[in-house]
Amino acid sequence: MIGAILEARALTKRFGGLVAVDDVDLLVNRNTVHSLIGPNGAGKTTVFNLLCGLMASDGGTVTFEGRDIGVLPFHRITLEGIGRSFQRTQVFPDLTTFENVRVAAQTRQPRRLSPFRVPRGSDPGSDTAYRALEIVGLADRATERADILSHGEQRALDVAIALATQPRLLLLDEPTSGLSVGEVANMTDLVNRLRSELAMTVLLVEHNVNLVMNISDVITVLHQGRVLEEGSPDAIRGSRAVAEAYLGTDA
Amino acid sequence: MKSGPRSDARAPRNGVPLEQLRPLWSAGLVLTLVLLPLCLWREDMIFELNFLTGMLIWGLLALSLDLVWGYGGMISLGQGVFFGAGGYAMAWFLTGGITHRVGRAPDPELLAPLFGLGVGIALAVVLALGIAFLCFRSRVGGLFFAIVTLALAVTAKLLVITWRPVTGGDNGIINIPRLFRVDPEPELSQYFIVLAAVLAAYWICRRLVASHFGRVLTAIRENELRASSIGFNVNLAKTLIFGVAAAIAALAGALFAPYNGNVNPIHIGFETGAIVLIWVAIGGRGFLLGAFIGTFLVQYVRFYMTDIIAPFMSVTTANSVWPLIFGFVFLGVILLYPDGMMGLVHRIGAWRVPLPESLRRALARANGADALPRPRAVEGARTPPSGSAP
Repeated sequence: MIGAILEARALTKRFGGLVAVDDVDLLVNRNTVHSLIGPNGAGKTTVFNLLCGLMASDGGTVTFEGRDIGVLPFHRITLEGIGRSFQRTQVFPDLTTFENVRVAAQTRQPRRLSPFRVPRGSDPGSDTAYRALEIVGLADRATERADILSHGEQRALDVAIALATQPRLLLLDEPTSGLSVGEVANMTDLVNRLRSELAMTVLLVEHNVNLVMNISDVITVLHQGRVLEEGSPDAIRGSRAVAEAYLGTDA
Repeated sequence: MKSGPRSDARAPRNGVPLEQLRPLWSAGLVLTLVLLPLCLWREDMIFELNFLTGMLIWGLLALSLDLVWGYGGMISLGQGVFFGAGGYAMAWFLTGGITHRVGRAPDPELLAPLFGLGVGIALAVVLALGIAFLCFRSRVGGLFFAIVTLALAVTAKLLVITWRPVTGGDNGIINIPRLFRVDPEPELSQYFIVLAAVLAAYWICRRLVASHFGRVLTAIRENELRASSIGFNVNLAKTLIFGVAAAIAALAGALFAPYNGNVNPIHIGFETGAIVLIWVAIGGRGFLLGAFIGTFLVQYVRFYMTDIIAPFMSVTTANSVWPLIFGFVFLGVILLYPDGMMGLVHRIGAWRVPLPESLRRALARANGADALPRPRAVEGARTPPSGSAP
């Protein structure tokens, strides 16, 4: 399927006098990897938080698969089909790796909040959870507590939790932050497989420019809360405005 | 093909962890609680029996806090308020509160306790849901939630002291009759009423924390932002569990009033809410059973140590020394042993005992409903490949 899965129009967010996100338009096409890059403080994470409802915007609309989701509270966005990972790893430390993803998969199960229904190994949610662990390569760690996993494994678990909610659009906030070279390669491979094998759309905030250039279909460059440039990796690489934003006007 | 200690360590360990014998443990514990008083019952053991009854009631109150704190991740200093609501309502009905006003008593043996229980629980639940709704709507969480519940406890105590016609003011309500008196052993019948209520509440809580709702609650305790981002309404879940816990606290209070014979403002105030926090911390939060273990341990030690230190100081001095001691123990446990006594219980539970195959299979079946769902493939991955054996 071709066409936009997510469309943001005139998105604006102010923190007091600071305009963190200023009239940003963003169009994410189905089954693509779309990256948001920009220097520190460009407003990338704020855009993310506006898209997934964690912050209320001061203007603009967000449409997901044709539905206006700008008004929905944070927890409802997941049910619409948007999963997200966090810049600072967010897992459930005291639970097993498996329970971390199982409880996420529970969100798509019938009677997901029922006080009478006890989860069982035969639930479809358990299969979803196990598959999410397999995709990120944590299946053999399933019975370990999440807090004894390495940093890299916890980053992967963060993604697996988002996957277990069965999203069609995945928002990844700096998935490679703090990862070793080998782990970055794994994460790159993972993002590629999400698009090619699972037909997922991925919106990525990332600092690792090499990674972004390798895996993105479209790159949007934010600078001081505005969209500076948008295009294919090659177009961005050749853009003079982007080079100036990153390196200063003398570059 | 040497079989030294090294290869022994690698061999799959025989035996079943004690923890998996839980059906046996539970059955044994329940049987003990039922049979012990019956077998050992003598007239001069009224004191010991009443002590045990009291422990069960206080344990029930601790259980309610464990739901809120150990599973919902909220610190509540106001469990005493819900306990007091149940206690005062029960006391009011049992002492003929209706009779004075309507002129005709409901059947004091049956209807009055039911009214007392119903009104007490309803009062507590409405209050709890209201407080939780207001707090979470205005994003009051964490420590501030604890402060709000503290304020609630202080306010409730003042209200009870001021509202003399109904609550008896500073003196509280006295001369509360026993529940369903079955002579000639009213203490024994009271014990079994309390035991039945405690077992029922405990069973309900066990089911609750294992359920979908309970799993979401645990996730919220672990990471609120994450729980919300996987699609769960965090405020709703927290509000609901606060209401459920209030109902259990009110049940404890309703059992306490006729047991104690009087209720007074101390029971509704901050004093009760704070001591429960210590019981749950020492027992270990987030295990349900820990609430009872902590309550029993603290009360038992306090009671029998009072005898020992009695020659050295007056009762008044001893009473003011205890909070100090338990305050320090509380700090120590929170900082050093966050799992409390249940940490120890689980360490013992990991010991393996050899069992005949048939018994083992029966246990697996009994455990099945309760066990954490494990992915089958993972179990397979953990068994060593057959080719690697020498």
